[in-house]
Amino acid sequence: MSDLWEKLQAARSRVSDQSQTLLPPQRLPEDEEAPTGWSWFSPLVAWREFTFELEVGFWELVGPGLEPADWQGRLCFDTETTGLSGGAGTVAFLVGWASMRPSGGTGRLPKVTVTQWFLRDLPGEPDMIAALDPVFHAAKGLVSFNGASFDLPLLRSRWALAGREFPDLEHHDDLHMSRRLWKRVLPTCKLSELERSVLGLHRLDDVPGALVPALWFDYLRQGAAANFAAPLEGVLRHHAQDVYSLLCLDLLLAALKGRPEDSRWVGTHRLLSPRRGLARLAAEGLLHPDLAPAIPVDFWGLLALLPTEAGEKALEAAWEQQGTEALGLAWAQRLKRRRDPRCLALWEQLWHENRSFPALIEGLKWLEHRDGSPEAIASALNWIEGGLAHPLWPASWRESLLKRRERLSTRRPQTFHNG
Amino acid sequence: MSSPVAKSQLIESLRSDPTFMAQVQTWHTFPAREGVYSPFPKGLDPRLVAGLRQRGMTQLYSHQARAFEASVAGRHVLVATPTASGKSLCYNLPVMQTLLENPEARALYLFPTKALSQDQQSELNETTLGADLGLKVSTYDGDTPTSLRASARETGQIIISNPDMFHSGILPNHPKWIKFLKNLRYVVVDEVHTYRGVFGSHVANVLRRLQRVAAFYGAHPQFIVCSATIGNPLEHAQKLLGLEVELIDQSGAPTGARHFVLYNPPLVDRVQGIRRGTVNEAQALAVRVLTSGQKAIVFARSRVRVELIASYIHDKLDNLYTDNQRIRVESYRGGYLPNERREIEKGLRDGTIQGVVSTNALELGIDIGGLDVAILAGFPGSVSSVWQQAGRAGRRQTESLAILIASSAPLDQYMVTNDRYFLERPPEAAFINPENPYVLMEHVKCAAFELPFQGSANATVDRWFPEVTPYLAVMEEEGTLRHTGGRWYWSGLAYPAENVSLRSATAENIVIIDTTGGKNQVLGEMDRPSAKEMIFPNAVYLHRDRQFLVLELDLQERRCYVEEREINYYTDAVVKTDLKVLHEDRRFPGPGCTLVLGDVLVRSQVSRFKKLKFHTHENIGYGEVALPEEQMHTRSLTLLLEGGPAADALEALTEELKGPAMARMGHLLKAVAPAFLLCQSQDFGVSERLRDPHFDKPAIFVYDQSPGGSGLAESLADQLGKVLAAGASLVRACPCSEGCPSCIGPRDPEHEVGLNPKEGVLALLDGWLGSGTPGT
Repeated sequence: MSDLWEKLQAARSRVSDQSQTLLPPQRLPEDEEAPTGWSWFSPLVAWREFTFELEVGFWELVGPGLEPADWQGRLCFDTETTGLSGGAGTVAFLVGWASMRPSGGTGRLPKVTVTQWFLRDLPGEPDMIAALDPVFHAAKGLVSFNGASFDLPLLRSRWALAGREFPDLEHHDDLHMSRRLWKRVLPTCKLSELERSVLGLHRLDDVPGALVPALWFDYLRQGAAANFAAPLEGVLRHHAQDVYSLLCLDLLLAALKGRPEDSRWVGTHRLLSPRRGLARLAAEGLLHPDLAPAIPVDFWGLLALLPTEAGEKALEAAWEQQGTEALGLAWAQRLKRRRDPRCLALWEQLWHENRSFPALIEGLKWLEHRDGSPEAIASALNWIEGGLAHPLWPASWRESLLKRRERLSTRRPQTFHNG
Repeated sequence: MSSPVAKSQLIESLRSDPTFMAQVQTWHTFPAREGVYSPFPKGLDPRLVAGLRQRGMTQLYSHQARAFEASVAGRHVLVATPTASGKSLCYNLPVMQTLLENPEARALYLFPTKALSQDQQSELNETTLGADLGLKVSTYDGDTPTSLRASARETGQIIISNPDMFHSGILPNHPKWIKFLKNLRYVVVDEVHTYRGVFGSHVANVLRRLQRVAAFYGAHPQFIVCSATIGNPLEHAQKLLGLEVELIDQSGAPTGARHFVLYNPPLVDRVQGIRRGTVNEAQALAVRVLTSGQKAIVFARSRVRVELIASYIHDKLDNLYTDNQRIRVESYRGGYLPNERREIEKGLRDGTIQGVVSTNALELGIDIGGLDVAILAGFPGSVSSVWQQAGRAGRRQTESLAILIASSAPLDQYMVTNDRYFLERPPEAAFINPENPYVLMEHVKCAAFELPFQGSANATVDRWFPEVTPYLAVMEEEGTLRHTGGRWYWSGLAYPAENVSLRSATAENIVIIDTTGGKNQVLGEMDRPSAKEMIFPNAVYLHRDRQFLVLELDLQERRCYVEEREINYYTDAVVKTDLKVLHEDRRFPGPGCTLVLGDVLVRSQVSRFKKLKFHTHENIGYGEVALPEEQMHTRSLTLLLEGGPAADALEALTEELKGPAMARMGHLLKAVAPAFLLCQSQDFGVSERLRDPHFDKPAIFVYDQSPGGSGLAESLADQLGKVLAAGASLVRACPCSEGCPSCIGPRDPEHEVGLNPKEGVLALLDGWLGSGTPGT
């Protein structure tokens, strides 16, 4: 506390001692050269873009079935910000996107462009927004990874503070579908994880996202030099890779969504390598390429995308091939929904072969409620005795069986009781 | 349902009960008052008129009409009328009028607690829906689900929130609120008397930030604020808002006759001046009221006492041979889960609960319907709280009864024995200091995050924070601001509002978890400093008539694990405090002594606890506690007894009397000062030393209990003369012979053998203040 008093006192005397502070003169772009590959838009705002062809192997995998409308004019964007919690005091100092356009001739690969806008110091923000505003207004749609809850609200806030309105664009947040497809097969569903495990893109010496704000503030405190590319190389590279990976991911998701039943996806581990793009980025000094790409798409996630009939087909095939309890139960569930009595046999099989408690309960429910004949009740009581004989089952399971037995006993033919 | 007849009978039976009346110090009856009415104002929207008529109203109280007219004329308004005078219409009418005229307009309502917001939302819905006005009212607080937040921001015409949420959730994200803030026409702040002390200073700064951000969007909202009766409502409101406001303090609402009884429990030890405790007396009175078919509210001064009184009432009513088991009585305090609290409030409103024992949590305007009798177990620390709590009885303009049971505490005894002083005394003034540097610093940070300050490095002037320049300079030095291009940009990594709590420096709550029989269920919560004193390992935690033993207090994870047990005692921590001088700001002459204002470090530690038996409250043992000490950096006023009348008077005492006399001065200050400092005795601490190691002189420290200080030390510096004089007259008028709990504390027979501390204190005070001190 006393330190605050003292600090304030010191500040007061300092403030009154100072003769006159002049506003720092605005630096002009002519004064200082932009880093290689970058151009000044205004004294405190720089931008760059680079273009390369999409990797042929990757395009062969995802291209079939994709319409240009699935990707043309869409900006796969990301921001780097001065804080991770958002709020009015958080500024996006790096905004960029990857986009794709068709190449001229037939049979040629589409071209990818990565664009980055960099804010060199806070007073330049209105300029940066003025530059970006028409770009976003012209875009057909936005793609992001977790942008729905972070990047997009942040940009909206920045636009609002600058007295503008951020365009109301179609927006796909690829985080959600990725979670559906991979949350059960990958340890996390962060973009970096998908990049490595699904797209086979590997990063070396990547800057952890959490450190990015501090790095930018360090650069600022050290004088916001014109050659920002050297101190912030890691941040710029991290961001470029994020948007490129996002573009690849978005193409893959669009392809999966377009033809989920395609033999390309089910039960296979296909090699993907959007590596030519990587090589190009690496040549720019932005990325370190690596090998061993593969996509293990989660069967269950994919199943959710399939139309009913194709889904059932896939499920039946998978059950016959692999015979796991989970597949069997899921297949039986589909049969039950169709009131197909084959489900009972399936449960019985799962109960006998896999000792599956859920199958036992499902079978008992069917016997009691769907069938209900005296034979079915007798058979159910038999099943229950079998279940109760199981020595290792938890007490709650036993209890539920005992309750069911008590209820079923009263439904036995009257003669049983009277006799 | 209780009838007015039964109530008169109860009042008569108390009046004619000689045992009860023997302890009654004063029975004061405030006569009933007629209402003063005004017709509906001319401009009032016909839809509103229809809505009011539908609720059976054909005219307004005079203060409601005045508030409407002043608001419509564009003035900021303060309504300061008693409890239950229909204050909410004072703001609802002008707000709804504006929203009906212009559906794009927006209003913000701030209430000090979430409970009050809920209450207000249901009241508003009743009025608005009742009149089929179709206004959209949304509550926006910590309990609002994320799914409803966006629609509240977009479509809510009236947003109901609290200062804490506004500070940490809305202001820092103001660009999301652009539509709301652009069109903000009214800001309603209810219960402004609760925004006092440090909390009030924080809220004053939040309101400045609100105006600053609204102005950025071109909005200059009008304020309508309401206060309970306090000594300085106008000054307080203007300081809180930083605006000129029009005061409306003549209530037009009728009131029934109000009986106010000061009850002094019988003495059990005449020599030591010990009286029967407030807990048992309150229990007995409450049972008497409840069994006569009346509804009662008992106010107790601590969480433990609330639990004890409720539990004793249950024990008394739990008689198989009577019908009394049907009487439902609940305890109510902070730290219960919100749904528990809602359920109790609802039970009180619909009459399924007949009695409630509460801390001051129910003092505010939460609608709990009409209760017949209010019992105050102990003086709640301020005269305005007495009237607030007493006002909980008889809200429906019928005859009402409030009984204040005095404890043995010196302040209570002073109040009952000086009943004129008490009854004629204006309610306390509320005190805030928005310029308190510690508070201001935090809000300048938040404000800089919200919008950059504009100006040069040595002369930045902001309309709402005029003295901001040195604060900005300090922040720039710390690296959280960047001054460039004529603006001060936030350049910290953190989200500053997250680290600033309005209520106290350590607002992190400990969650209390019931682990009985393998359960893992949240039972309640408690702030950290209290947790160290109340839910340390082996403490007994009382919760709605159940007893739990604390198994573990995990301060790191902010969890406390408890288990339900049958226990016949409760626990009371023995807290040791220690004080260190950090910095002297100012040394100046005071009445009879030298005064030093400065910073101190107060360290407190719970080292052991007492086990107190239920009902008898006798001490049946001790236990040890091993918890890290609590540290607080705060402001202190030190009374130095050097080279003046006070020092001479102390020097004149015998060696043996010096220590006790000094210690008793501390006791006395703690007892008398709250009435002058507009605070509760818990708001400051006193520590006295015959030879202080820092000053090398006899010294009495009076320090602020809010981290960083809330201005109490500075205020005491101004009022010390009056405080000492009142202390002297209290001691002189006290009938005890050698000190009692009512004045300077009883003689300690172990350490004060053959001494009379009272003589010592009187001699000291006489010398200190000169002879002719007022008294007797």
